[in-house]
Amino acid sequence: MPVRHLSLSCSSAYRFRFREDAAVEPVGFDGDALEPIGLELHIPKDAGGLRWSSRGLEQGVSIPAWMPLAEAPTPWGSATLAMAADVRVLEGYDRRAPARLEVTSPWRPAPDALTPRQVWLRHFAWLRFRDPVAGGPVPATLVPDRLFVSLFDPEPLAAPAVKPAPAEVLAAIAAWHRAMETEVPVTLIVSREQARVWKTDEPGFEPDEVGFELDVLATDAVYPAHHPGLALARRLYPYGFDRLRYAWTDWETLALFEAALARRPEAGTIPMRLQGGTVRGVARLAPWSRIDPAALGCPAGALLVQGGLLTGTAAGSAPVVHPADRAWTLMTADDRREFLWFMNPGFARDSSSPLFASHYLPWVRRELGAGLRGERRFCIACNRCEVHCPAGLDPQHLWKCLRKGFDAEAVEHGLRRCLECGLCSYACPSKIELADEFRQARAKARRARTTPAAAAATEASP
Amino acid sequence: MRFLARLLDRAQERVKRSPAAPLYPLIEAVNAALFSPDETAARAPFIRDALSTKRFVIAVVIALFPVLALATWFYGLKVPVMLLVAYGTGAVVESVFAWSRGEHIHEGFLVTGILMVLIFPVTTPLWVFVIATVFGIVFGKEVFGGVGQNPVNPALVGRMFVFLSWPALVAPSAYPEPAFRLLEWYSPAADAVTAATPLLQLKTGALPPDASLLQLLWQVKPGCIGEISSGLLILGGLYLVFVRVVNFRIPLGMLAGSALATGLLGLFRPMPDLVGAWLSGGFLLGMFFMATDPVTIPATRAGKWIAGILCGLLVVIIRALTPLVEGVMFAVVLMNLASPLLDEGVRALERRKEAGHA
Repeated sequence: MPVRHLSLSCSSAYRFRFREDAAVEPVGFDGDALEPIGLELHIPKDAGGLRWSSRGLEQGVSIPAWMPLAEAPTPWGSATLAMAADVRVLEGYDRRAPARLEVTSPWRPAPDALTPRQVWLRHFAWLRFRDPVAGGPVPATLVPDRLFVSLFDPEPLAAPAVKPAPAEVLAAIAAWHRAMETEVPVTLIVSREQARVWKTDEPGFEPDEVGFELDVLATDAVYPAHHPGLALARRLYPYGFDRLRYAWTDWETLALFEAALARRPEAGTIPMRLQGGTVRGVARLAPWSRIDPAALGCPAGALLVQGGLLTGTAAGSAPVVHPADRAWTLMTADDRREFLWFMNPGFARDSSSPLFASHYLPWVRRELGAGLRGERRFCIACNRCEVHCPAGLDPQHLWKCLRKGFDAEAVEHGLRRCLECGLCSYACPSKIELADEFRQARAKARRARTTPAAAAATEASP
Repeated sequence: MRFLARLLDRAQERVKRSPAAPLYPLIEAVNAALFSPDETAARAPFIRDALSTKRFVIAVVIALFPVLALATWFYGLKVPVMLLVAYGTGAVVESVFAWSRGEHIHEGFLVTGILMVLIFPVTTPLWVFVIATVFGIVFGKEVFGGVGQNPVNPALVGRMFVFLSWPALVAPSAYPEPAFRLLEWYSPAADAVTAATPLLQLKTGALPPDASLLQLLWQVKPGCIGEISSGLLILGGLYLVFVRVVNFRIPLGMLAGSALATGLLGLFRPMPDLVGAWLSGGFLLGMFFMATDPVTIPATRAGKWIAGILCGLLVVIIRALTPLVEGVMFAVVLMNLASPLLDEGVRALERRKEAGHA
């Protein structure tokens, strides 16, 4: 039985939700009330003290067995054999009570154990950790497109500390750049108070004087408490925000880093085995392991999303798995059509839309479900993107500026303050690739600034 | 359902590769209307809200359907036929433009078509109606680049064109009295009973003394097809506001603006009753369904408030100070034309404020 949808997250409770497959469609199956699912999950029950519990799932047989793990090169050597237990979940479940298989592990620290100051320190522990372990060159896939560094935790909306000193922060980031032998643009998220103190106390704090592109986003909180985007962010949290993982003060990811730092590779190891008609294989999600979609038996047209559905990237061949890639989603070619209403596995609703009883009437969802359109998309100026934007921008206006080639006007309207969080693209009813367009426009602007000829031209022109 | 989906998928694939490829947008449109299309995001975010423009469109159609049903009851079979004509014409025009541009067919004309029916009286000859639809979609929307690019409401553009060309056909002085005509075809000769609209009565001060506001709200009234019942329009409009397809700032602003204008003009001359003016004529239709088209109103919040108030002001001014009986059409179009300017102004102010802070 093929697995139709699988969403894995290394650091949050795993949430599975599967759709029926035509091949196992029983006689009289009406497609609405019950869905047979096929899943064989091999979890090392004794490795790392993982526990699993299921809700809404009728369990079948549970057979302990020895499962060989895939050979996965890691900084700590290749994988070994591990004890595994089969969890066979072959029975149907009611869609109205989304099935959830939760896997918990004791190495997640309690969020209260960390204070913002510690988080700040841990950020830089993580940055140091990004030095090549074996002294070799850093794989290109490990270098982020943009580094978000937050000096406070926006989620609890706590009053952020004014410290640390900017020189300390900039020195740490610069050291990281030297260690990585690369140049990555940095978005520094600070409170308004921090920004004010820095500007008055540190006259040397100017983005032009550091060796990398530095955007400083001064904000009271990335989200105000009543912001609709906050609810959305909370809802999508386990599946997105990989690019915001630094900004978001991601406790769980930090815990993974912590575990990796302690050289406990088994802490992040999740051997899994997917069996079925189209997907089979063994994947080992260990820090810095390489995962080959072909090893999963991914059929042609399947999409492996690395790093979260909201902001991740489609995994290429043999993408590198590292702790920060918290979410993996495998979509077969067949799934991708229905993907939009499978959406959020484990969540009660697959849409924040207040329209229609789509959650309660599956056939309504089928017929009126959203779709992504072709290349040319129509902005109907509904302003939903503006409502969701945590940075307070007007994405539709920026998009229109960019479409018309008014790049300077887009920058003037705050393009550089864009967090690239992807919420605008998420909310857009016309399914415009807003975040991606902003990302490209920023990259273009960056190239224009950093190219010597272009810089000379801009200096000469005024 | 599954069979139909597979059939459509197969047809779509086959057409894509065949010489009949120009027909692809049509098949795609049918498939997309019934099922979700097969295109998915290749770039992040891979996850999308299930809300789509299709739902916006369907929501408006749902909100207006009771009015259409009531109009069919009272005006006869010509109303659904007009709807079919509007949809047929709109589909042809949209398809031609979509094919010539190599784009998908957008479902926006479903709203334009239903609005076209509602803003014409049932006495309108079908050929005039077809001309209005074609003109509205072509010169109101397509020449500006299609959906999302139109500066003014396309339905109103079409109506304005025929209103100025054949005023007697489109805006007669007397409208047929609503009566049970389901299963009948409306013909002027057979249905000679006509009546002045409440709006005209308000303007001339000839409103019958027994006409209360409650009657205006619940009774069917002569006028354009969509003006038949204020109550249903209010229900539909509130539904749209509730599901957030329509921005509440425009209707509230229009109410405030018309009250303001009525108060100001009332200082100098006798004005018709304010609530009566709201409930009669095309005010509700314009307020909930025309002026709120998100494409044609300002994008900024302050701009929306200003635009709504401006529109309300204009409605009252046109109704009171010009020979025209109805002013909603021109008011909405003028407001639409002012929208880019309002946006620019608001954004410039915001930028200046930001610069002042920094």
